[in-house]
Amino acid sequence: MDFGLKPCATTTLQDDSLMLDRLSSLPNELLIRILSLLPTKDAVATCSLSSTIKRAFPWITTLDLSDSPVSNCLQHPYAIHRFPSFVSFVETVLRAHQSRYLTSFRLHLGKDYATTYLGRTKHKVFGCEKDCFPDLNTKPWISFAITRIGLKQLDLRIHVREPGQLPPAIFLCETLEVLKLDVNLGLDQVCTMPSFRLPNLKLLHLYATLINEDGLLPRLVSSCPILEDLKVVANWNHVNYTRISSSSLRRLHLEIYKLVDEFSNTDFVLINTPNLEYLGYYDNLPKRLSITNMSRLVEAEIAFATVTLGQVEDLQVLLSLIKALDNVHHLSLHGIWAQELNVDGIEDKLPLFHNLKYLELAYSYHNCWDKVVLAFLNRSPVLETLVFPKGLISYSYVGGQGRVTFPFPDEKILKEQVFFNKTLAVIPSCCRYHLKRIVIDYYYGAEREVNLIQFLFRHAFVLEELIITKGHVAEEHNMELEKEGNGNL
Amino acid sequence: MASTSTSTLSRKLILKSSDGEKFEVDENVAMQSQTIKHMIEDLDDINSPIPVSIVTGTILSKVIEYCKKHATEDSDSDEQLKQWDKEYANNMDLNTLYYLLLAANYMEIKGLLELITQCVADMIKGKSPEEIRAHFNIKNDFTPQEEANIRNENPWAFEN
Repeated sequence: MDFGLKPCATTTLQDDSLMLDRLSSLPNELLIRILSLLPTKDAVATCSLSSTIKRAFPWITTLDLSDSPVSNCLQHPYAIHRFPSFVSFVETVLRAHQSRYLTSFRLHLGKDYATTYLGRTKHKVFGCEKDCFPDLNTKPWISFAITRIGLKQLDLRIHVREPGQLPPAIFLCETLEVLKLDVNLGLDQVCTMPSFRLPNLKLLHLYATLINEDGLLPRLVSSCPILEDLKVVANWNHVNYTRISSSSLRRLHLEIYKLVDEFSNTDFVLINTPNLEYLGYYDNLPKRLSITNMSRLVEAEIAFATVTLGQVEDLQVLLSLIKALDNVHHLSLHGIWAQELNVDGIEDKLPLFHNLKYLELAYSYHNCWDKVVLAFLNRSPVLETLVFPKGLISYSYVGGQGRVTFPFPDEKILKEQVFFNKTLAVIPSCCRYHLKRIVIDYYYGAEREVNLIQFLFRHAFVLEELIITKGHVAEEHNMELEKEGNGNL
Repeated sequence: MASTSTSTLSRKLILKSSDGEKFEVDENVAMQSQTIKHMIEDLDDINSPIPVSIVTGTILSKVIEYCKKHATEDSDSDEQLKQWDKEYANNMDLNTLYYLLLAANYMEIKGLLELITQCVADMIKGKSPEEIRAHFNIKNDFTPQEEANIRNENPWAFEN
């Protein structure tokens, strides 16, 4: 954009107006508005341009403070020597700030939770050392923000060496509409508060290093009568129950990581959110689950890890959840789903997904596909896209030097082979009219995979696109398949 | 948003710019300006032109273009409206933006004010102080010592 040099199209403006100072000559009120839309660092730099701008600065209503690009991480350090300069910058800004009002306060220090604790492999705790965090007490800064009048947005990303406690007064800040917390500060003081007051809160995103108290989440949710968007990603000490009950919630995203016993299952999960439009849920499979029907739900992404193998109750829990998802357009099932649902008679137990256009089915530990794939095809009459994001078989089925072998042949796999060699007498409706796109990641070129893909080819009458991404040892099978595929398209 | 009752939809108002240009607009278009809304409440004769004293005809026509777009309900999705806003602001030169900003402030049109202030802020972002000075033609009223002091007090703000 080049605004400066363009001839003025509006002819009535006087020519000498082109020489006017286009920023300092604005009324103070407008200058404050503009400075408030800048990262505070840029606003301070702009202050050096004229005394009018400098005078407006202490009245800005947004403070947006970030230590980027400094990285204190020992594995990936960057410009650590500049960190003290950032700290004194924040202190100067807070001292200079005159306004009693503050609409928005954002403070970002270092990496976020996901990079810090989850590392490259999602869902696996892998983390930074204590010394990767700056040694800093941010409490006075947070207190500064929450004692101004009219704070609507608070966004804190704080991971420090000696964390201390998150000031519980945040949860009494009645003007807050948006609260984003990504902190390693402790929540124990917050947990002991008798009540929270967040009557205007619409969005709450909480990334926490440790939550010790099951009751925190249900209490928080019930203190936010108009909450629409809730995201909680946290390590929990032990979870006996998770209870989310809210009629205002539109988006719910829960990621529950067990800190002490990685494989423990939550005893009871209750999700009572009838107006939800998006559900994202990652957890170990809970022992019991109660969920309301959600007729507005458009998208669901559910991943369950660890399972007590082969128990009937596990399947019941999964089925009771999936029945509540029958309205979705977009469904993503990761973890144990494919394995648990590949059982006889599963088709009759699945709901009819009358809106489902996009389905992701992730491979899980040694699962077969013969029942679960056809069941979903038959129960999803308008399905357009079918994705296998974790491939069709596990790498362990593939022998060394690119040779495809079956080290663990068993009856199940033989049954799968027989099934996928068949041609169906009744073609699923989605295959006849809608299924246009199939995506398979981690393709190794094993016979099992070829069989399944050929099966899909034979039946997907309107398929337009088949996208296959190779795993490590895929070879010539891939090519043959493509040739064959072209004939069919 | 604009009033939907049938009586207000049919009414027309005449806005008169500082240089005497007159614009006939639907009441629901003009009512997006809080200033005009208050003026109408005090007005006996709705047919006489309403003076918009500090806004020239050229700028007022642009303001009305914005208000018209935002007065029609449900015709566009939020996404389309945002795209329209973006193009609308991108097509203005700095001078027009400047006067439009003053007009939006005077006429109290919240959406337009937010749009233009954001557009100006985006011009500042990512530029060095020298580039900002040149872009907005900002007159330096600091002594070299004063300017140096500001920089020395806040080294963080002046490093890349």
